[in-house]
Amino acid sequence: MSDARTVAGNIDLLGPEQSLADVIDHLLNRGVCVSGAITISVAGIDLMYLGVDLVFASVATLRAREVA
Amino acid sequence: MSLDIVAVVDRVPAALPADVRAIGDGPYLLVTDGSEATPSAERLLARHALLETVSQETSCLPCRYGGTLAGDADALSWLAERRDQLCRALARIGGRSEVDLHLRSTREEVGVAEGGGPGARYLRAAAARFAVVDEALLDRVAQTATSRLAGDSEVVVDREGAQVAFLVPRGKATTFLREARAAGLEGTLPDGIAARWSGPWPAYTFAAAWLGGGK
Repeated sequence: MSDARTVAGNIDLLGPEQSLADVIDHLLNRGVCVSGAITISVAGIDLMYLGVDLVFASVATLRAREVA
Repeated sequence: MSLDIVAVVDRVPAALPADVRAIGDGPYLLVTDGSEATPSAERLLARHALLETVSQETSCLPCRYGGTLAGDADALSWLAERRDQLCRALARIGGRSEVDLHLRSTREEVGVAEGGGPGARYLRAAAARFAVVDEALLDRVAQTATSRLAGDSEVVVDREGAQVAFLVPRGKATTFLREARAAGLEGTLPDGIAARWSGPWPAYTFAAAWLGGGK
């Protein structure tokens, strides 16, 4: 994962194979979810603001939009 | 003060950072004292690095970033309520790492990279993946990959992430990844779908699949 750490602040959205975007995907969208305690939710909307210009949403939110 | 939840482990790692402590008497919940600090790329990478280190030493179930509990008493209750489930999952992980196969549309890049900031492009790319990579395709890819690669690997299909995750022996993860990339899986995919491998990772996808990712 050393490559990933070198790209902090310069996210490559579609590659390379192990990017900061991959790390963020894993941290935010996978792992054990401690029920009702996701502090990255803002007013019930699964959004996380990362810095000033990066916005990430949970895949659950994307799915909800897809269904809608 | 609330606790930020980091991971569940089967034993306390020998060397934890000063701000990380273990709660419980096995399995253990690794926590940090909660703060109001705004998440940043650096904090996310530090969390991932910690999980990687812990996973090298113990069976580790990573917790989703952002999870909190009110305090030690709540943490102990949380552990007690899931003790059997956690023990089974930790035993199942054993000394293994996750390797992921990501699928995406080769057509999704049309429009995805146009306009907006990196966050908007990220969302458009994720939505495009979800739109074209269905469960049947993921199941077929998982079967093909399993037949061509190590047969005793555990496999989880993550529909929402448009990926198939493999749990492979920690010491063999790099070899698995190398063999996987050489297996020519791309030739079995439908037109317009591309595959990409990543890893090794702590068992993020398996933790969500086995213990509920809140999806």
